[in-house]
Amino acid sequence: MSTSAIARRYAKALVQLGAEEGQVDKFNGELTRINAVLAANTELSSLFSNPAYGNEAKKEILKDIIGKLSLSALVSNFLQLLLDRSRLSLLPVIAESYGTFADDLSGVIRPTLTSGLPLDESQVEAIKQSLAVSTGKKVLLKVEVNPALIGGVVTKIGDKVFDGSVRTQLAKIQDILQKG
Amino acid sequence: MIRIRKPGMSSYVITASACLVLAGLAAVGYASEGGEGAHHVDTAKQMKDFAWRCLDFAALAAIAVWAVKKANVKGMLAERQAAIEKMLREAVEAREQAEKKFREYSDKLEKANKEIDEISAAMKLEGKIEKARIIAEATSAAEKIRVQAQRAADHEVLKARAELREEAARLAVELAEKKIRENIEKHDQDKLVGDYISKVVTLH
Repeated sequence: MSTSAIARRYAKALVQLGAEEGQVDKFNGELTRINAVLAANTELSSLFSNPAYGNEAKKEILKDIIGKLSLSALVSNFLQLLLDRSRLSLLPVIAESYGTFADDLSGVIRPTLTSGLPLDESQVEAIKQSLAVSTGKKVLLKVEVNPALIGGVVTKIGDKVFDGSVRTQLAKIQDILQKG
Repeated sequence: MIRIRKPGMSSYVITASACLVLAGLAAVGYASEGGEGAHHVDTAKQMKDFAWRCLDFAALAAIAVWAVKKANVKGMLAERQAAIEKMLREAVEAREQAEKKFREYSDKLEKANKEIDEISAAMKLEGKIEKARIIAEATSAAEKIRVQAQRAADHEVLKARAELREEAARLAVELAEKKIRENIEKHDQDKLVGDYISKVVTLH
C-alpha cells in the first residue's frame, strides 16, 4: 500500500472521530499547527525519524510539544500512535488529507481564483458568492494574480476549471481561425 | 545393300590346268611330227599319226568338256545373272525406298514448314497480345501515378493552406493580444468579471 493511501486511512479515521466529537475543525487546526511546527524545525523532524534515539525519548519530546501546543487528548493520542508505528513522517500528508476530508464533511471548497488584473474586494466576494451558489458549498477562496491571462478570471476547484480569461478566449479564436 | 558374288578360286585352277594339258598334248603331237622327217609317205604311219591325232583331239575335247563342266560356267553365268537380277531388284527396291524416304522427308519438311508457319503466326499473335497487355499495364500504371501525383499535389495544397491559415490565425491573435494588452482598462476587467460571475451562477 502506498504512503498516501496509508495517510488517507489515518486521516479518515481521525475525521470520523472528530465528527463523532463534533470537533472536526478543531482537530484540523491542531494538525495544521503541529505540522507547521515540525515543518519549520527540520532537526525535530530528523530526530523523530532517527532510529538511534529511543522510542521513550521521542515520546517525551512529543509530549512536551503537545503540551506547549495545548493539543486535545484525541489528537495527542493520535500523534503518539503515529510515533509508535513509526508513521510520524506521514504527518504532512495526513494533515492535507484530513483537510480534504474535513472540507468534504463540513461542505467546504477551497478554490483558487486567478485573475489577469487585480480584483476589488467586492468582485472577490461576488465571485465567492456565485461559486457558493453554483456548488452549494461554503467557499474559501485563494486569490492570485497572473498577468499571462491578460484579463478575466479563472477558478480552479479540485480538478474542475471555470475559465473566463482573455487568454483562453484568444486561444479559442485562434483555434476557430485555424480550422476555418 | 547389293552384294556381288565372286567366282570360286577352284574354277580358275581347273581352267588353267586344262589349258596346260592341252598345250602339252599339242607339244607331243608336234614332236612326233618333227621326228619322222619329209622322206616318203607311209600310210600305216599316217594312220597311226591320224589315230594319235584323233586320240589327242578326243583327249583334248574330253578335257575341255571336263574342264568346262568342272568350271560350271553355266552355273556361274546363271549365278551371275541371278546376282545381277538381284542387284537390279535391290537397286529398284533401294530406289523405291529412297523415293519413299524422299516422299516421307518431303512430307515431314512440308509439315515442319507448316508447323513453323503456325508457330510463327502464334508467336506473332502472342506478341500482339503481350504488346497490348504491356500497353494496358503501362497505361494503368501511368494513370495510378497520375492519380497519386494529383493526390500528393492536393495534399500539399491543403497542407500549405492549413499552414497559411495557422500562421494567419497566429498572427491575428498575436496582434489582438498586443492590442488588448495595450488597451485593456479597469472597466473591461469589471465587465469580464461580471460576465464570468453570471456564467458561473448559471453553471449549476
